Amino acid sequence: MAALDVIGFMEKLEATEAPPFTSPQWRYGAEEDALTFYFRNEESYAHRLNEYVTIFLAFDGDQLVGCQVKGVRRRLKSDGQFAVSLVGQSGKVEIGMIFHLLAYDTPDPRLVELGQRAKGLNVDASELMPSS
Amino acid sequence: MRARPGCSSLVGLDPVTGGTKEYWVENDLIQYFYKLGWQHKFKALHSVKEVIGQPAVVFRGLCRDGQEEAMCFAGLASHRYSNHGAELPPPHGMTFVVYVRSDDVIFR
Repeated sequence: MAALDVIGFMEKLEATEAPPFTSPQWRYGAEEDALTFYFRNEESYAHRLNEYVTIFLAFDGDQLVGCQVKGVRRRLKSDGQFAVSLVGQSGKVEIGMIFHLLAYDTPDPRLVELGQRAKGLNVDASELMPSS
Repeated sequence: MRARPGCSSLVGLDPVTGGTKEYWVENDLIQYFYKLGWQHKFKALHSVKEVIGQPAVVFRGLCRDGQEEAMCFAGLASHRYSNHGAELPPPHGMTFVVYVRSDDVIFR
């Protein structure tokens, strides 16, 4: 079977109208072990903050738009204390807490802002830390 | 052309031979950008195609566990895109980078 090329696949998707962006949006990609979080829809560029965090800043004005955190599962697995801090009795990880904890490593007001923006959003711990 | 399940293909520079080879993008990722209304990210795949085909420089080995063999294609894109999908001039003083895993899959 021949593979569709990327542009062909895009054209296929564009045959149906895309929904408008609604804020906030987040996604944990298990394959890439990365959490992506957006709370604004401005066009943005990437700025690497540290080993784990890349922030997205608006082309116009450099305001914080979102971020990507790499190696979330790897870090949860390797750092028991980090994991215990995040997973409460509900079995859910509050995304905002991840940013607040990362801010201890890299004191940056933008990480604190991300923590505030992500308040109330959570992900099942089992998704981040599969038992197998 | 050999299909790779769940992926679409892009032809780009093979930095080892100087010829071309196929790279892959997961369809889920493309759909994800489109369905969330991130037109500027979705349309940036045109820039991915452009830069992976004609990079200014290619680096091998990212300073991250498990990505020692991954590559980074860096170059200048001719456009950036608005959230309405319109072509805009590229941002001044910035490069466009494309990351590729050792299995030839493009990742973020």
